[in-house]
Amino acid sequence: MKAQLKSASGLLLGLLLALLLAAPACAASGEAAASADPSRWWVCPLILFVVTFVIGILAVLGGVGGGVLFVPIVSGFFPIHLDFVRASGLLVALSGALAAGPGLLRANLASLRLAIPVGLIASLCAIAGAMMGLALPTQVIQICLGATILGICAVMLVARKSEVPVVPRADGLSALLAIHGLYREPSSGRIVDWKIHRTPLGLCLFVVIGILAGMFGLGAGWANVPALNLVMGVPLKISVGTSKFLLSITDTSAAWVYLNNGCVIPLIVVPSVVGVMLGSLVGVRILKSAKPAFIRWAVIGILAFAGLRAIAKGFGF
Amino acid sequence: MPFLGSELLAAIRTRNENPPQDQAIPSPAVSPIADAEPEVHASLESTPEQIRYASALEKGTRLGLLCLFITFPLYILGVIEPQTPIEKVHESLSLQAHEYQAQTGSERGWGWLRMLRRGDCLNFIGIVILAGVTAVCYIAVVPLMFQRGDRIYAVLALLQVVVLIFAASGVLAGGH
Repeated sequence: MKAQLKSASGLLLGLLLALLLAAPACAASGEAAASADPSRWWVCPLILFVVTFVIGILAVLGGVGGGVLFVPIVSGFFPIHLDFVRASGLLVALSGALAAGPGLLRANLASLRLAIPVGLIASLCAIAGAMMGLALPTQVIQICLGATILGICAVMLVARKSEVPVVPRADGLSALLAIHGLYREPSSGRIVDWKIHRTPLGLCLFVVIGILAGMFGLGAGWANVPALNLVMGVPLKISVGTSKFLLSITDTSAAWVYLNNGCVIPLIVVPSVVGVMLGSLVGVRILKSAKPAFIRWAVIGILAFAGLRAIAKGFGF
Repeated sequence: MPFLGSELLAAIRTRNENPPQDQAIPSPAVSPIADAEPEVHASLESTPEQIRYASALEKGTRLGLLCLFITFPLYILGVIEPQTPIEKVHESLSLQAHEYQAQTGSERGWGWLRMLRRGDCLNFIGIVILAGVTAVCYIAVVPLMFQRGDRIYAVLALLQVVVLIFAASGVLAGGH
């Protein structure tokens, strides 16, 4: 079974790489054909749908959000301007968060009390980030995007996780806001009464996270989870659930800025959202059975490649 | 797409029961906070605010995605004529947003509302519902918060609504 999964995952990776290499050529030929034969417009959205479907699978298996893979890959390998890619990336991340949100809240795996103050700060900063992203020259954003993606790779490589962090004492702010809860650890059946600490520091981190999310349209799950788990001491499962839910608040704010600036094009957004969502469904089914360990390394490799490509593109190569 | 949420939850449970080797971090045998007496108002169950928020979120997300699934085929199959021909959209994808608007004559901001008879503009209904559902969810839980005397959170939630309305208003113009 594991061998089959490994070969299937390898096939998926191969397919993604082949599509990435073929995408610019296909899209370019599609563009050329479109001028001669306008009926060929469907080539680019179709390739985008297939690529985003594979991204959806890999994102779930690699433990990252769809947006963080979508933006560097599509901006690096498709002839679509970064303005439209970032807007689509936010809507891809937003759709996934909206779809998962109700289940996470009902199962008490996402904490609304935790998400409300954090989301307020992150969404304000995401708006600022989106405005900065739209104001700065595209080359600068492309280079910064590449550098950020490489930074995300580093975070993925070095960040450790703690199932139930030790929080000796809740800080004053979290006590005032009564941010705490109960959580049953399924592996042991133990009920954990969790609380958080270092809330001011955590909120400061969400200033940066919000700006990055809005500026690059990346979603921010890659940063939310370490900030909640390692800095604020939220149990891992609650961190993951709240982070996913939090994206629906943070990305909404930035998405409105892009939407109002004419960066949302249905021809790109809808195939991307549907592709990533369908891919996520398939990915979740694979994840239920097993998770090939090498997929995470492969995802980091793809991200690093896409990050370098973004930097090269920013410098005009 | 509520099924995606339930699938994700199931996957999270599976991963926690069988953590992958590369991420398996042993839980402490006895968590220092695990044996603490739970506070009176903490519960394993979701709060009424979370339940109401989840319900509104689910309905809004379903509606938004349903709109997209209906309007997008009408657009790409040419059933309803678009404001900007698809071929022209495709040719202009590599342009910056403001250049794209100049080339295609497409609307920005809420201008699409005036063109709802056009296939491409119809798609914005679903997109705007998805982008707007969060504000609706916040508005839905504010009365509950006031009822429970949770004034700080009620104010925070109202502030979030103001931020979202501000972002949605189109006041925040950007551009290169």
